[in-house]
Amino acid sequence: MILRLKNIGKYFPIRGGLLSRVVGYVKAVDGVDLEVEEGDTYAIVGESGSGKTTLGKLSIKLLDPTFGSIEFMGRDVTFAKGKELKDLRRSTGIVFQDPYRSLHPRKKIIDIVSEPLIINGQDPEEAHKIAVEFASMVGLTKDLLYKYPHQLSGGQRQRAAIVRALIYRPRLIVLDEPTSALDVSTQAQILNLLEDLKKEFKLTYILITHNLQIVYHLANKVAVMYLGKIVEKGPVEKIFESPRHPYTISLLSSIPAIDYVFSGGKINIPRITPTGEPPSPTKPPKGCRFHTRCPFVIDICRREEPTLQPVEKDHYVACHLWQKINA
Amino acid sequence: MPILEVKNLKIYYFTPSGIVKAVDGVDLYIERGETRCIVGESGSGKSTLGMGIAGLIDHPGRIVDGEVIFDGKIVASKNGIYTQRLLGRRITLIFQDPRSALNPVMTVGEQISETLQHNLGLDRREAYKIAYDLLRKVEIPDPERVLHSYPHELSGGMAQRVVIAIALSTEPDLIIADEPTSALDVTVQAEILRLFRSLVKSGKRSVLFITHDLSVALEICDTTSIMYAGKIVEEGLTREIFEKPLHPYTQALLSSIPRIGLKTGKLMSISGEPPLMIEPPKGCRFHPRCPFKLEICDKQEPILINLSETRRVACHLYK
Repeated sequence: MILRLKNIGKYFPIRGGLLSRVVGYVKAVDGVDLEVEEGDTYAIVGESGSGKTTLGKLSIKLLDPTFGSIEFMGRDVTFAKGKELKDLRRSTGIVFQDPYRSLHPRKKIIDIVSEPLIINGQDPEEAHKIAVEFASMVGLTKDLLYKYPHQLSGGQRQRAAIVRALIYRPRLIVLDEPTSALDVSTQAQILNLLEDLKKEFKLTYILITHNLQIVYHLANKVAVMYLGKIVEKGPVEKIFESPRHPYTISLLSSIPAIDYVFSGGKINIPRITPTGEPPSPTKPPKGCRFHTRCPFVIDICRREEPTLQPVEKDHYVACHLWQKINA
Repeated sequence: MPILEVKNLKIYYFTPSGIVKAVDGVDLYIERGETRCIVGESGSGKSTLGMGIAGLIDHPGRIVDGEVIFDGKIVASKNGIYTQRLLGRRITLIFQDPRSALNPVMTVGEQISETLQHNLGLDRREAYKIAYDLLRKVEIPDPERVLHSYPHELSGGMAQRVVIAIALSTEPDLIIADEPTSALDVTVQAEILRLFRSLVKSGKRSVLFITHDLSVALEICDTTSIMYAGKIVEEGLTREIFEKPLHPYTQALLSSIPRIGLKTGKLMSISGEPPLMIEPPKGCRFHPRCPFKLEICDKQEPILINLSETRRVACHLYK
């Protein structure tokens, strides 16, 4: 087990009024358990406001949790600081969605990607040499390293961001929508690259995305988030072949041209679309958070919050009706 | 007679670093009631084409050749743009970001009724009544409240429904929609696509739908044109293209999309990057990235040839 999140949560205060008093909280992540094994590509899917990015940042302690605990490689790092935190930073990395904003616009690529090494006392010349080596592995030629971010294409920039995340040889990398800003042909290149690097460096990925096609292609496990909670999690094949939560089913059936994209009738999902739009995470609905949009809602859903129940080995769902729903 | 004919349209941007040939000789015909998708990646010229048809090309861009014919009349060419009187009435537009399309300091009701008063000559009371009906038609659950809301009080999906309501309000002959669902979440996108398709079909509107997503095209369009580097490289019924892509670019594009239910290992990807449109490659513009490149491909530019009544492709492999 490389990462274990126990009942983790993150509330962001909302300030308002003349004295900027706290008037409420955005419950971005609200009690999540997640176990990531070494070598997993664990996908976290959800729509905007589901808390998936916050969960990704929590898992490598780029944010401090409001409650709950983080265990990384067997050690509790919830309150890590000093050397312990530095060690954690060195074993983890992150790649953001928008390489236009995540790379310093006035630094050359080589300085951006070797910076993590130099900060940690590596000789700059040595660090540059390592950067060139890593760059060639991700398909960035040496001359591109001496350019500024705006002189690179989106795909090249994302490769640079990957080098920066990789240069420490971390164990775990959080990929936060790594290809959402890219065209499909470039996306395919980056997805292939991520797969190669995973093998080469024995990496574990946490893949945050809203794109289920990418989940199916890249991940072996998936957790579906809705308004700060995991509503269903398990092995990718299981979740895609027999999803149990109405929200998971509706996500799958919302993929455009799903009947075409799903090949050979292997997976057959009834088309259900949830009514309306997700409520605000400041005031999540009582009971099951999905009940306001769920086509199967019954009385209990409005009163009682369902907990994650095992459907079978490793497959969990939080729905009062899961035994009746079989897509 | 088609509602829209685009003949050899060329739109160039005259920038300090050179002439960007964003649209470089495009022919396009849209019949009445047809929904046509333009699919392309960023920089392919698809949005410029849409704006050019609407007559909305800004400096430093301009039409340097060709013409846009709407309902039998030339409405845009290098000699002038005559779309002003059509826009908002017979041609309407829907963009990606609904909030920037709406006026932030006017309520939804004011905006819709303004359109109706201006274009259809209705009085305020009538216009509000129709606005209410329109909001119901785009399945807004609470039209009365939304009529009195400001755009920032609406979610992205709701705001896009309002924009669609406005775009349909004048019963236009042609709707140009540029990535109207790309900023929305998948479940909301699915809803909006379903709604848009049913409204367009029931009203027999013609649509030019611009998207980067071939699967969205499958959901919504009868016919599709694939654009690459300022040119249309392939056209046909959307299903035909999806089932049997002919142009090597379309083939590569389709096989680079990861598919559910099909673990392929490696994805096919197109090597290299799309060309800079200041100096597009000679001959076929796809030849530097094409796996099937022939001798002739870097010398002679292929033209769109008809393979069947519906199918056209611009590639030397098909002769």
